[in-house]
Amino acid sequence: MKFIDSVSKPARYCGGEYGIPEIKKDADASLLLCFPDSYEVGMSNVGTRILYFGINDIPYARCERCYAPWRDMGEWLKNNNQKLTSIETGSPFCDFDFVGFSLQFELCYTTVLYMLDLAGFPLRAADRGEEYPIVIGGGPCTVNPEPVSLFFDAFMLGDGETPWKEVLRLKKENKGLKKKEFLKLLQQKLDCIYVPEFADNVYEGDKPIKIDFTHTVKLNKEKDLEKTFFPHTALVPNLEIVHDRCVAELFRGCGNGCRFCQAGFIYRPVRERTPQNVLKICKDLIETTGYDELSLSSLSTGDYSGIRELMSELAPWAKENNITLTVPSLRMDSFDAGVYDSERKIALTFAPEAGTQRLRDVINKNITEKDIFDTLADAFGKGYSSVKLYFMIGLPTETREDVEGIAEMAKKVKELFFKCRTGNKYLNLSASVAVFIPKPFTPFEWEAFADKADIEEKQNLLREAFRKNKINLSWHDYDTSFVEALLARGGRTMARVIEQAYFNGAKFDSWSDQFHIEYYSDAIEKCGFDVNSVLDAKRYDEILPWDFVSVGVDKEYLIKESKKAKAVQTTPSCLKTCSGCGLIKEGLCNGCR
Amino acid sequence: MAVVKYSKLFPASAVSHVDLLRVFLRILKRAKVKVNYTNGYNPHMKIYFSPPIPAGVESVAEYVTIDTPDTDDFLARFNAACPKGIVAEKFFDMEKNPNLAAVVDKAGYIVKCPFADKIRVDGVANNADFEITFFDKNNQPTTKKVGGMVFVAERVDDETLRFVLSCGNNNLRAERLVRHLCEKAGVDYSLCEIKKTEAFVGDKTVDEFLRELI
Repeated sequence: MKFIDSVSKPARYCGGEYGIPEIKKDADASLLLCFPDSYEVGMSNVGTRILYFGINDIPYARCERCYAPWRDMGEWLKNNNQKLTSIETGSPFCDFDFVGFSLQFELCYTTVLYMLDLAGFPLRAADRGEEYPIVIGGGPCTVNPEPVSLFFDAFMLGDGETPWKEVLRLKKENKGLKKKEFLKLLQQKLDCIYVPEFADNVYEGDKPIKIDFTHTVKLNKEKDLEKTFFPHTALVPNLEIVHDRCVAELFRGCGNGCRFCQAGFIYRPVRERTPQNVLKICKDLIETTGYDELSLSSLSTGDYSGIRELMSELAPWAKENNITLTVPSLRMDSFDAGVYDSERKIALTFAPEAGTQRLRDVINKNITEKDIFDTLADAFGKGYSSVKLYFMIGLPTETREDVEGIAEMAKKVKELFFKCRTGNKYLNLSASVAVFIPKPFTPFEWEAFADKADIEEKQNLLREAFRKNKINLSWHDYDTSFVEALLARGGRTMARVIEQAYFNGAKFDSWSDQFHIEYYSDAIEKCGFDVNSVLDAKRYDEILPWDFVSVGVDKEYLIKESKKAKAVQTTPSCLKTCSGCGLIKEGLCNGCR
Repeated sequence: MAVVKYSKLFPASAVSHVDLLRVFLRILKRAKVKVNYTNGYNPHMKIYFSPPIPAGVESVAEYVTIDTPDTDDFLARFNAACPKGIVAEKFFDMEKNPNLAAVVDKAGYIVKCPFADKIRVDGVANNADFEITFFDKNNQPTTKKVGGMVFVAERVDDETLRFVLSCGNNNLRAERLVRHLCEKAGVDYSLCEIKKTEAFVGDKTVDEFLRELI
């Protein structure tokens, strides 16, 4: 049986995308870059695009890709005694010096195990001998690597451009070293490397009681994006992927300091590319790929200081060349419909996050009702008619009034549209309500995760109100968020649960049709895991599993922000005034510009 | 109008027909071919394909018609912009769209199989009563009369078979026929390599048909 006749979308596994750089088969150091989700999701990720081209640019290095095969292909591999291989050259995992996994979201953890399993690797790092490559985890989830520490030899925290170059150079120069010695060398040379085996973290039950601070692990941040590699080309997939367009990165970091947002704290400070550089990247991307859609990416695109300068050149060029521009991640206080105006009116997405001003102040969203309605009135007046609003429920201090405020706001948006619309357009309005997860390295890391009855009551309330107002509502299901909260906040002992969930059948957990809570509830029960120790509220002086990691922002600052949240006090964007988060001390930031 | 005869080989052979349009749009953009666009709110390039082949089957006889006046050095520019497996072989500069999707009615296939000598092909072509059994989209076994859809079924040598089958609106998928014949002969179908090698308009090959139109 040939897989090409037996599986859905075989092009996922065949490679041959336009733009593959030269793969140096006899390179001195090699990395297999794995993405623990489907091809369509993995190919859309900008981080792995950067690393792939950056590493293949190094004269002595080789980088190939591998995505999680969909269930049908996974079964085909098992039934035919075949192992998972790289896309470019069909090489087995053992052919590489490093196998790197990009951990973009916690719900991909079981898919990591699925890929290791399909590659014929023992799941636990301790069971993998010298014949197996070093398995490294990277990406945003590694700020708390403990829940998956059993499965990895090492983690690389933060931006990967410079450290990967260094790791591959060290490999080239230390070919003969045994795995353990090489890991020691990595940890010595690079403070963004964490080797779980060398950390003596002690747990009582499922709570850490002693954290090993001999090696504080520092999240790497590329200081000057102008000097940091960014590919001026991209692979062009042969099938439609999730974000099927070119992506130019404007900046990293975000100064707004929304208290629920992990990215806002771990990627601080704001590091921008110049508009001239971005423009060149955009034009080169379009020219080399043949894409007709281009996305300007960042955590908050409207806050880009060069947005007007960039758009004044980019917009006419895009129009002339039939290129559609998409601008994700807009804030309602910095969206300027005039800047993004074009003949084709894209759908606008905004995130007020909470329904009342009080709660928006608690979470430091720093937008007012006036910002929201002025922005929308302007957009509707310019012909926009499709709006999606994002909210969260389960936020700290949330009351019934805050939840009702969500429905109230959606209703007001609808009324505003009919006041401001141009012509006879219909409004396409929808709201999406997620469940808040208190994540590590945010001022809310000590908060409890909401309980099921509370969330479901609020969801029912919203469903009823939205039905009455005839506005579309979508919501995140509680169970998925519950598992995500566990995986994000758990410690080392969480690994047994993840392993058991995988044995129970869990993989592709971020796909709602693939996620089954039973895989996890059974694993939690079998392992006798104490869920409350992870999800309950924590004291400020309590040891947290991720305490040995430094993201550059002081813990005292997070505590200060947490107290301000409780007092309903806001903190302005650090682009306006320095709030003293500690990055200056780390030499990462010059204070407020 | 530029009509391009191209090959679709591995790994591009895995690309489904739905995705192929997007692949071609990007080839043309990269090759900087000035293609005429449709009018309207959402303009798109005017390009037209010959009847599709299923994902997974290789072909050296595919055609695409591109509405463009920009035909200088076309093949070299086009091929420089292709992903692996797509190779433009011939170029026909036409006055108007030959509408190959509608007129191409037969396709020729070469099947390489180490046990080709065991597979019975006599009585398959032009046999009104000939039936095949295959698994449909929902994986259900289905039996279908395909008598009028097989024009040639012959053994070229001990390892090679050749078929000419109906394609287009009245399509017979080569892999369904070959799998059926393999099962009848007790031969492992997965050892067969099917390649589409010819396309016809009536009795003429598409190349001949196009040359007569020019």
